[in-house]
Amino acid sequence: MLKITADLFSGLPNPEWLVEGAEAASVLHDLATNRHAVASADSGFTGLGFRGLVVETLDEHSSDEFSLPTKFRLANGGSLNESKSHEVAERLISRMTASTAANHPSILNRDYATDPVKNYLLQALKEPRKKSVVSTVEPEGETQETADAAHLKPGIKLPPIFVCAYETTPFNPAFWNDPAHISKNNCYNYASNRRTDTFAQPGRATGHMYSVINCAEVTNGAVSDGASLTCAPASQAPRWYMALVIAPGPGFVDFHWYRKAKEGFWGHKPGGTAARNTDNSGHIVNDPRTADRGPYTIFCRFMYAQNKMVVK
Amino acid sequence: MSSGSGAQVQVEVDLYSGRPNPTWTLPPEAVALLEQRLATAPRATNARMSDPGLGYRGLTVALPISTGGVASIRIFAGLVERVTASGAVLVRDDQRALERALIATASDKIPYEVFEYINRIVGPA
Repeated sequence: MLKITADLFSGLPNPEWLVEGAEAASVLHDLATNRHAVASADSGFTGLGFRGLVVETLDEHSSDEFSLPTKFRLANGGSLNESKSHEVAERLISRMTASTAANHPSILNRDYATDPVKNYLLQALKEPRKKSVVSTVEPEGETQETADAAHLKPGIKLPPIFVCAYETTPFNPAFWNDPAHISKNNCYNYASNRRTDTFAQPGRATGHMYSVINCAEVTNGAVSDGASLTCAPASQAPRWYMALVIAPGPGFVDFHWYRKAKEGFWGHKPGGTAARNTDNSGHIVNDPRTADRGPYTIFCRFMYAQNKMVVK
Repeated sequence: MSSGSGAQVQVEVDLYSGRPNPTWTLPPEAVALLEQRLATAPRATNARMSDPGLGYRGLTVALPISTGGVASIRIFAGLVERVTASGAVLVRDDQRALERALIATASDKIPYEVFEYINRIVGPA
């Protein structure tokens, strides 16, 4: 029994599905006799976009029987036989939407294991991997489309589910740096665009404040407050596009947030200090994932502040 | 420039972005040291308080003024800035001595791992 994860997104949950029975055995046999098609789990392309399939054996004998690792990658540029790796990956991707593909407790993320995503992956396998180019789609007006669409290959028609609309406003630090308010509002206030003068904490407004600081807990607090991890509907406009990062310690444990501005860069407010659009190296923050974030070394995810969101 | 009243003086480490910063009460001798340094330290010329963004950004103290009001004091990276209604004054904190002395008063007042972290960032004398 195999669990397959398409390592595709940076903000959305990756699609997962199951391949079992005769098909799983056939795939494992094929890989066992073409061992160079298998890449280690930590190898290959790690940039934005499709990073191959992660294959995990869920039963105790498959990996021993076929002398394969319990977890490995395919079609990620990390094997010695990428042609074969792609061929096997195509077989596995074609099983993504089979009726039995979700029948296991470890299959958690089924939202994006759909025909449009399957077809996208099959097409992506045929395309040579190019250097990723950020090509944010910006229609006229205030509404923009999310970075999870932006880093996927230009020229390939994107399924609608990759495209999330959100709103932006012009970068306005003066609003946040007013002496009457600057010390009373933090990064979460700024990112959610809610100046409450309460030095807001994720989850506090809705009774689910984080108990420890890590990506999951702080994310859960923000979701409790009304943030969305997936596309937010137009009825929830304005939808601010936020990014969450964590300082994991030791000694320095904290969270920090960014919000995308109309100009295309990201603004942020380190605690009670001034809101700004530059990172710790003085460079404009074009992407929170690659900005100099000082001790906030873990990038958690993107998410959306919906109109219904409350913070305190 | 004495605080005069004997009121408790709070110091805050400007450290976090999301969480509230650690704060503690300065012992009287530390307040006296701060006042003495503000009165005698040489002015800092051609210098400016830096803003490093994310991470440790120094200490801030709300220091009562005997003539009324509060001076906002920021101590960071070899400089001390005193801001009142009448303006800002910048003086030197050579070897970060004042900064270290104030941090030392936190040893039993903030979580040890945070105290250790701050000392590591500021570095040895």
